[in-house]
Amino acid sequence: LFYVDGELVAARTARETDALVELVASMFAIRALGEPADFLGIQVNRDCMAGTISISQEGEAQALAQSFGLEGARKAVPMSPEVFSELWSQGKGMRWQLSWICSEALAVC
Amino acid sequence: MAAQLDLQRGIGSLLNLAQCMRSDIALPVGALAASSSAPTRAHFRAMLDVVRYVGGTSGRGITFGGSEQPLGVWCDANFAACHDTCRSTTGWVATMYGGAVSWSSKKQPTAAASTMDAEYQACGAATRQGLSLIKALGEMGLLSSDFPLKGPVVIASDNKAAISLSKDRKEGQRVKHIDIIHHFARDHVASGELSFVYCKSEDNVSDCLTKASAKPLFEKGLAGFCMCVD
Repeated sequence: LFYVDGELVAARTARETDALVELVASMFAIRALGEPADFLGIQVNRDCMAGTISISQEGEAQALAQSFGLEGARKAVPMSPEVFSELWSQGKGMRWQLSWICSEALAVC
Repeated sequence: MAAQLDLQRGIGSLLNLAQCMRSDIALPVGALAASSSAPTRAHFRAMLDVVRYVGGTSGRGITFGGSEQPLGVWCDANFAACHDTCRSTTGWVATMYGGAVSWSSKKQPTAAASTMDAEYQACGAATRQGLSLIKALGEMGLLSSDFPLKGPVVIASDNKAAISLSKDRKEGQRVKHIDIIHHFARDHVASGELSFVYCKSEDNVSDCLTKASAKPLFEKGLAGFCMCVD
């Protein structure tokens, strides 16, 4: 029976992570893959000079754009204030139209 | 029919991104998802726009380490944005060392009578999140060691009336109707676990979770939680 899994190890110093990897390696057959670059579809970027760690789902976002044939398309904001307001008032607009049609129908009768 | 399936597929993928990594699209995707059962052409066009935005900014994610602040919580609300129900939207974001660790953009369960009422409901939601973060940090053993979080968790809000209501008991025509559940924040402020501070509306990084803005303001908000704007 084989069980396979992957995990991330994080600590303040490399010595601590190495110690844990060694400990696990003494009990299981493992392969240390070094610094993570891609984990569960998440891209990991470490900038040691700036002291930052960044994560993103670049691949997934691009695949989504591609699936709609929109690769390479750009847009500065996800939704303009006008469109946002329009979406929220859709239901009301329809209801108004409906009541207008009803009132017109009554007037005709 | 095919268009509706496409729309639902698009919204599904966008929801996944909005929940995992992209707090910047949480508000628009929420607005789209609210009507995915009865969509119109406007919804389809708007969905494609969000996809264009996400594809064009695919490298944007969360950066930790861009700020020295161990834990920060911001909350905000819009007032009666939903024209159908006249309900407001709560938005909050929690950051650790500048990177967003949790966020939410959600229509409030009841209609608020004033902006202060709406913001106060948002303060309550941020309080619950602040408390759960403290609990999670405690379980990880981070609060006992040398984690530099001292004193109460500070939640930033851009509404002075809501902050003052969270500090002391006030009675009056304008606050009498506010339900008990929303005074949740006040109890925890009194016990010293949390405190609210005022920040200007344009400095409130949770702004993008309650309002759709034009480019300059939108990108300023993103920079607030270190979502690098390339």
